Amino acid sequence: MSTASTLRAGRAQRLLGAPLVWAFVAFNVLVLVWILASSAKETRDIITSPWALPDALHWDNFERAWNAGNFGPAALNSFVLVGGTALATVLLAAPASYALSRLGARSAGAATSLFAIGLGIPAHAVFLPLYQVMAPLGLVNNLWGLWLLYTATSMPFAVFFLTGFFRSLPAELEEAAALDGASPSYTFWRIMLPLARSGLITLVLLNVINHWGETFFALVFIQEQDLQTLPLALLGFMQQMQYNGADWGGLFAGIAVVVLPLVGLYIWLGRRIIEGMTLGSGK
Amino acid sequence: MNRRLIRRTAAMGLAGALALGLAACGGPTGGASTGDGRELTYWSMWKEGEPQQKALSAAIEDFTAETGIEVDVQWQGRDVLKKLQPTLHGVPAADLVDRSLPQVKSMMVSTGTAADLTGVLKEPIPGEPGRTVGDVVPAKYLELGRAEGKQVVLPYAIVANGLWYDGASFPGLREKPPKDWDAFRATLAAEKKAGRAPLALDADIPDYGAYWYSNFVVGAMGPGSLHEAAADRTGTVWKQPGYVRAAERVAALAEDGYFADGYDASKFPAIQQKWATGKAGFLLMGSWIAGETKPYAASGFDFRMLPFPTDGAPGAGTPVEAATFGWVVPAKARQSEAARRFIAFLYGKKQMQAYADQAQGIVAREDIETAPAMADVARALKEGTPYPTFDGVDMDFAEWWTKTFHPLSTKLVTGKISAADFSEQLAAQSADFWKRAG
Amino acid sequence: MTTAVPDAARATAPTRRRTAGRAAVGPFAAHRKRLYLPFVLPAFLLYAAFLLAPVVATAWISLHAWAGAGPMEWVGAENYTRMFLDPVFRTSFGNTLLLLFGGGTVTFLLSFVLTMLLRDLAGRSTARSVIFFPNIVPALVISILWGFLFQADGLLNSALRSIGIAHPPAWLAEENQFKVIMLGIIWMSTGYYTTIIMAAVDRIPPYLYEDCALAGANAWQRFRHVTLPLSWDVIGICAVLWTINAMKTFEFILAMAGSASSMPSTSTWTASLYAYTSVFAPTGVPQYGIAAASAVVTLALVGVLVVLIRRLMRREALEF
Repeated sequence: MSTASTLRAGRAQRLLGAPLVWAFVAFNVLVLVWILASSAKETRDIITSPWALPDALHWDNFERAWNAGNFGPAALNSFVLVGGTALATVLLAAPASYALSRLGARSAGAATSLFAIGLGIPAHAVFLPLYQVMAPLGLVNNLWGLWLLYTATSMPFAVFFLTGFFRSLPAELEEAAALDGASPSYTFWRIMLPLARSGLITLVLLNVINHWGETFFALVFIQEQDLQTLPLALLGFMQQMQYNGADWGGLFAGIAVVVLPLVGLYIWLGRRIIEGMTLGSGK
Repeated sequence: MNRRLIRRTAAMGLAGALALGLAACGGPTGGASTGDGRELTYWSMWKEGEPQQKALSAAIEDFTAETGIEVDVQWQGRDVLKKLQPTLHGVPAADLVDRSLPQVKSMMVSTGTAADLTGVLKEPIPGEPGRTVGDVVPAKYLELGRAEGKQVVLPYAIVANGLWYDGASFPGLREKPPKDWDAFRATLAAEKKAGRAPLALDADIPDYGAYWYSNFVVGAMGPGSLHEAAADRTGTVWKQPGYVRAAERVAALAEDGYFADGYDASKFPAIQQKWATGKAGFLLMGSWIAGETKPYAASGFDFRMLPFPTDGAPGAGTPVEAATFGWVVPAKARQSEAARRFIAFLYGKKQMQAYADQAQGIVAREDIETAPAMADVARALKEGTPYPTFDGVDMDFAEWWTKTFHPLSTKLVTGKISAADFSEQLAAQSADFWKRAG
Repeated sequence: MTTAVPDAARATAPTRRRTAGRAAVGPFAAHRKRLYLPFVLPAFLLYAAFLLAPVVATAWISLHAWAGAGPMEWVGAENYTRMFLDPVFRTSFGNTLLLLFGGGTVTFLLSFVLTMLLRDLAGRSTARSVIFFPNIVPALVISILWGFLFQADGLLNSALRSIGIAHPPAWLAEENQFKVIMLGIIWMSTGYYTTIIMAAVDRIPPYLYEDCALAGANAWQRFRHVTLPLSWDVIGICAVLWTINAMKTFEFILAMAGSASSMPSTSTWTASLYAYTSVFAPTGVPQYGIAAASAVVTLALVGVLVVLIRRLMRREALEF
């Protein structure tokens, strides 16, 4: 990267493009700041002067949201459920995607499309039949049931997403492994899977984000408060405002509690994606 | 592989459909076996931490102490029926729930899964010898919980709609309320002249805009008149003079600029908040507004409610738009006996007073003291004639209400169409709607 | 192809294309074939049991009038005819298509531009963590933010007034609402698709770009001849995802209604909100038949579009 033309192109891009990107970035950062600032403000101030910084830090917002919304146990439930779902999803979807994209089976194309179509199935179109079948099996009002449901409904996206990544991996490595006498399953677990790492991490991240905020299935399939997930806690807290006073301070505090772990996760895993890139693409 | 999969999939789908069909037909569910009456499951529309929850929670403790019946309570929140619905045809997950009539009607009455609670009216109230539930709950409240001739909801709390204002800004209005709409209009005109916005409305919420037309129709022709027009499948009733005049009333408010600036291009609760900080005079809203806006209302805001002024409605009392929260027992509830005892217990004066104090609301007994912010509501309900919100049109013709009425009503209240066009189009589109609905 | 195609790209791209799988023959290939079923089946069975089977049930429900409990009444195709005759469904469907194609064009243009700009940007890893952020935020928050930004006396109009525009547009008036909603969806989605496309672009060996630079290619040429072809599969995936997400959009619109007990104005409905409303409207008997019919129509359309996109993308990939 040392030629004059690159420098010239780079300079043009930096002049025109960089401000654009940073404006976009700045807007996002401001939104996050706005959420955090609002979470430390009184309801009155949020509504009358939404853009002002808090005059004093109202930590009681967090206390109220945490207690009234029952956020503690809900956070634990969400954590276990979401983590379990992401793990199971990757363990099931990675082999399937590899097989669909690289083993050259004749039905692979059709099967991939079939998975993709599953993405288009809205939750509210299937919840009743699911409920009727899952209830007698004891899978309703049960975190295992929800885990199974989340994992199953993750399949279309996961498989579809990963097939793309596996397909774009270089074939030479697989062939070289075969020449070295490696078994096909060794090739998959030890060579192809690590290569698709950035794809896998991205998938885990998207999966976690999806389920961390999932409300609909949780609402229908979880009945006991002890089993409720974070979005349910937030929803319940929000609904109280309808008759019992708009507590926007508490609402934003609750939202911050829901959002911040994801921001942290993203910052942590986001870097891993970049690492995965450098390892994955060789020199 | 593919064909096998397809076959397998089809088989599974069929199994699912079969299971569904069976379940839908009532199938092997065991039906309503009666429980032992020592326990009951209550799913509440309130969430933990709400004042209503605190009051009910205390009442439950008293109930268990007195009767020995254990109450397993889940504070589910407003989506309680959505959660209960899948279990209703089999063994209901709860023996007792609470909610308002519109939701109960749509999710339970329509599927025949709500029990008739008329019998509970004869239950004696513990600690009040000689008095039954029917004796303490006024008939006009009971009426708000009836559907298809059954008492499916037994009201314990009431909310009423009216014109809310800050008592400090309109002194004397309470003592000398305007005798009809024209008299009240003078107040609005004076406000407008003084450079203040007379009215507040978040028109992005279609229901809030619809309050206006609905109240004008009922205010002029009495409860039942809006329902009658909506029930007319030819749509021609909307073109009758009384209905057109109600539309003209609404259009005039928009035309004269009586609504606060930006009411047609803001997001709820922006305009409501303007009202609460004294930038608009009156807000047509339910009595929950006092609690809802308190956290951001101007300090010292004195919550007052003026019942919607009559516009010539026949009958004695002013019609007052109202809704209730009430008890509901699923038809197949296991512990329906215990549920009924619990309901009767809660109508005791001590329990009702405690609820009214905690929730700062109106309860379904008239011998209970109310909170200051609710004084006007209590009076309006006592002297006036409560009728269901939107005259029951939103629950009985829900699809028409959302798809046909809402768009036109929003256009009317934001001044985008004239009253004549509104009436004309409403008639035509309603006729179309019913033709499609078959 | 014009002259500026860098040799390296020309040389690598065709060889890596679709050599996977088909190339090898012999015992190793047979071994590999044996992996197919055990690898695919667990995922597929789970998927079939929890999504495909219920969809079959849903198709069955779409031929009935059903309130979610109690008896189902057979009505044949009536739910479908009723739906297509319903002007609200046509509006909703129109909105969905507008979002799908109009919103999609803008989103993808923005994503490509961002991807290209981010590649050579100092501080790119920070920038890229941040652009994804809107996806994490619950729709409810964004709807509140959008209100504060766009309403009659919101931030945007205050800014416009301060630069001398006395009568700024009524952004949230009924007729503009859906466009403002689309803007929100585009904002949220751009970060999402940029992130996915970036992950693919990251795997493109840097030497290709270096070769490109040596050949004197400009930014557009590098994009056209290296980035685009080498991330083509992933872009195809993104196109499919966008199609599906656009068809399923309703949460943000619902949140824009702002009040838990009310539906948003019908002029902002999408097809999936239409389906949702027919079951979960605050009042009214749930119409599972209509919701099911609408889901079936949506699914059929998704199916057609997905197949179309995949076909289209495949042909394009072979082109150069």
